[in-house]
Amino acid sequence: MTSLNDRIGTVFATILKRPVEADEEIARETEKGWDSLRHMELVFALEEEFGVEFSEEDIACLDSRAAFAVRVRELM
Amino acid sequence: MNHDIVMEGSGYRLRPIVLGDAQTIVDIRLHDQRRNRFINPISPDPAAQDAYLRSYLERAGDYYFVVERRATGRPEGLVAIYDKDHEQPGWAEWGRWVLLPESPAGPESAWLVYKTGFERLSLDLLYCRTVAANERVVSFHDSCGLVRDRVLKDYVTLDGQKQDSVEHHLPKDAWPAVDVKLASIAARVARKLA
Repeated sequence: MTSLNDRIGTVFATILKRPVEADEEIARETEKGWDSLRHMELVFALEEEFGVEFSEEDIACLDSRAAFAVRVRELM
Repeated sequence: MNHDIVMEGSGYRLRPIVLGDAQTIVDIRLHDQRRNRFINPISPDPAAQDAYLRSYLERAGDYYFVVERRATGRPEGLVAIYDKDHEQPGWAEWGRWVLLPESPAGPESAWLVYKTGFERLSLDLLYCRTVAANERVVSFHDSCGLVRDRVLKDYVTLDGQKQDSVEHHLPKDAWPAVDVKLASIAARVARKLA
């Protein structure tokens, strides 16, 4: 069974349009392609993948793959 | 120029900047010191912005807007379309785009700029020039589907340093596809806004 982290990685790979390693740390601050449009695409793609809903505050604060993983777990 | 264009979106609107917005300009442009390295510095004195606005209101072909949240009226950004017909008839540049760091208005404010340009100003093409080091905004324009034209060497001087700029453009016939993409994102973001 695909782990939550792997599923998040797959979503990141799709939206950022690049391969993502299994435990790769990805941060908005350092990822050139993580612009504000791709950020919203990540939000919506993760919502659809996991059946969760991020708040406006989440959207402003979630700035890394790890942060999204923590928040998804909290919301599930 | 002294215009009356209001462009309503899903969660945000563009409304004309007015003389009373001098403090708003200071608040928004000076909010994020980290991002300020990519934009021209301004005086923190609202009186200086007031003088700038008086000059702007006399300038033809320059449409400056406040990006305002529809539900609350809170200003969350600034953006402008300018130099209309300057490079070529029917063309204009857009920029002066600054948003509060936590604001999710990015995609929708760009969408509203394009709607304004193509649907209200009847432009044939909109272009923008972004400091190359501002990688996230350069990426944004790529992600929206704009055409990346060229790199303008040493195009601007910021903090005493010459910086390259990346030029993108969106012609009218490519707008419908970008419209669909950005409108969808704007609508979904709007559902989350207080």
